[in-house]
Amino acid sequence: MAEKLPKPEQLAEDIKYSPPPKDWMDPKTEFKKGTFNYSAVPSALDYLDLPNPGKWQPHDEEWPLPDNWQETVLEGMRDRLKKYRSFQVFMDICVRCGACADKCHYFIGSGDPKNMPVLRAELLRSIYRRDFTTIGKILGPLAGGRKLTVEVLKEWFFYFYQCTECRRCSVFCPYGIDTAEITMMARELMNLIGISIDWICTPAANCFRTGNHLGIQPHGFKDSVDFAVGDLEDITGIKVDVPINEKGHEILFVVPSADYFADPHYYGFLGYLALFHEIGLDYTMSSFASEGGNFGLFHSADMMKRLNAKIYAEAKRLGVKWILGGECGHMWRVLHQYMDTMNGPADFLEEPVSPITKTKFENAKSTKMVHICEFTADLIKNNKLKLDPRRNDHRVVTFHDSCNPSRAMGLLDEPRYIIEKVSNNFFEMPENTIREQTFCCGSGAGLGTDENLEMRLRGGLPRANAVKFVHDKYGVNMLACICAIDKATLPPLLEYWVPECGVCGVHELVGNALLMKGEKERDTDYRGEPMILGKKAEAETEVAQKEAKDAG
Amino acid sequence: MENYIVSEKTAILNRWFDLIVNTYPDDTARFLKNRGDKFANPVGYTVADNIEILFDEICNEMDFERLNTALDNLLRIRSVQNFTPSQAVDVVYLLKKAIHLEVLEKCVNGQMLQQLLEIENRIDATALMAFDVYVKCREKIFEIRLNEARRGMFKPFSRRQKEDI
Repeated sequence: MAEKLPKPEQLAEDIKYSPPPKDWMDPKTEFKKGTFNYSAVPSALDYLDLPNPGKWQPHDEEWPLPDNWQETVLEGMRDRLKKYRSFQVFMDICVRCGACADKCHYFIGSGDPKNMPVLRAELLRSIYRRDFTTIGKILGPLAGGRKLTVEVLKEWFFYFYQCTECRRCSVFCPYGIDTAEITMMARELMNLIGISIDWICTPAANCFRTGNHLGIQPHGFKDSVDFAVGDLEDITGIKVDVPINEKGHEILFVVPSADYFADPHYYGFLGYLALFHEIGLDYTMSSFASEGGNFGLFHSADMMKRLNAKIYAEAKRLGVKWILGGECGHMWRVLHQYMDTMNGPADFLEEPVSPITKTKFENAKSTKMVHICEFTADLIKNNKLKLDPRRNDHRVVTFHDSCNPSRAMGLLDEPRYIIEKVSNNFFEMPENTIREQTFCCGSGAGLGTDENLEMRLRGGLPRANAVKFVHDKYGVNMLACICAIDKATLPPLLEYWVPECGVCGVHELVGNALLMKGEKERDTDYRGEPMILGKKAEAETEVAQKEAKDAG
Repeated sequence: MENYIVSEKTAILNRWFDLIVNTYPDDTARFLKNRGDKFANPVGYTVADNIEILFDEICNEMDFERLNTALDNLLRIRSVQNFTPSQAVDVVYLLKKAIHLEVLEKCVNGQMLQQLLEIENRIDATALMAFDVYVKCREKIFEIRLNEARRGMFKPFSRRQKEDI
């Protein structure tokens, strides 16, 4: 009996410190709590007329799939290969050079090889090879082909809802493969059989019903705006006027709904209102186009189109000349890259011209929609604003390029120009973590839920690491950004990785620095925190005095 | 103290680093070993930087603050990655393995067992600290999650309530 028991040395020898090697072709997905999003609720799917498998969760052993689900998915793939030339090309041309492999924030932060963009795309490509290429049909696994099984589907769900469609990998791909588009296709295919996540479908259903993701009805929208007007009056002593649904104004102003509802977005919203009042802008907001963001982008091309249609429709109904848009990330990918061809042409609008500076925004000639940072940077450049950057001296600021404004529309310099004019302490993060190479917040494309927090903390690690660097080196205590999802999800990310650093919108800094005609004496910023005017100047004086003393 | 183990620092650290990165899948381990850029490979870089601090402290003063900071840097990452609690804190015990692989034979032969045992005691103490740090990180994750859920649910209403008052 005793002979059969292993000796302690033998036991110790058997302890393996490395994980066992696994073949990626052979999937077994573990849905560990904290690392995935909950499934779409039936009521949201019904509202959007989407296939509805009923109540289920990703960690259920059995998924409620229709009998012919493989056929539906493969048929959907065939349709999309025909419809989108880029999809066909992206399936065929990857040579697995590995340039993208270590560029994904999710791979860097999680250490999971299936988050290498090349391997994530391969999860879909392997099915394509087996069912749509001659060599794959003949050789199967030898040619890198895989059969579409339930395990493969589970793996798709797990990994394609870990991609934030940020497109950092595509910056490095020598062939220009846009992995975000591969993720989009995979999500579309899963949607065909009702496999989707709640944080995309419920906001989309809300947006379809009321015009915004939160489902705020017109009177609620007006309440929120009125409240902001009241708050701004408390802070500045000035009561601003915010027209809603009024016809005959020059500009329609569209913001992501979080701007008038969530923290810290709200302070940037106050900044917009103060700015528009100060320059006397002739604008209106719409309680129907009350959401610039578009979670349809994370669902499917059709859903994106449905949710976006209201913007041009409201611009037409209200009879404006052009559209101005607030700080948001994915909203701008939709507006800048898709809106014009999806729901345009907006031939009833005019080429945007700033009524204050007369600058023509030629870049928006076709979409007729201008980014608030372009608009404000132009105002500052033409000396139309009175600014006191010392009012932001209690902030040591760095700027996070949000993925979509930077990579999808090239908005790199305008926010920086603004920040430099409204604050005295601005420090850049390292070169390979900003501008086109910016690291994602890790929570875009529908992944920003609390049930997915652990995964988000992995995905946000590279961004937080760069923030920590400038915090340690320069004392940065505020991360400015121009994206609603960033503003919602970077605070918890930084609470974990760099708790000393806050998050704000660029127009919060603008609002704080803006000297308004007739304003009362201010000693707090929009957050009610004390402004320490001239802190930097005082510190510099102290240093100079000390140096003089030492020298003397 | 004049210590043979300290004199073999580079070899032991290299071995320890390899053992830690090999707790990740092969493809990831290859990436983590490439320590070219601090921002392109934050995990590999953090491991390399902080195991050196741990090694120095374990072999010298056992300064609590420095040990705690280094452990925090290491375990803050491993707490959110796909590791069980024991796998996460195992990084400290891997130093024992690294020392055994690099210098055990000489320590035994050279009558330096006393030094080795002292170091091992310190590694055990550090591992217990690592457990505390790990739990603190996990608690923080749940606290953040709770706060996030609360923010989402209550913030909008509190604003309205303020107005009603």
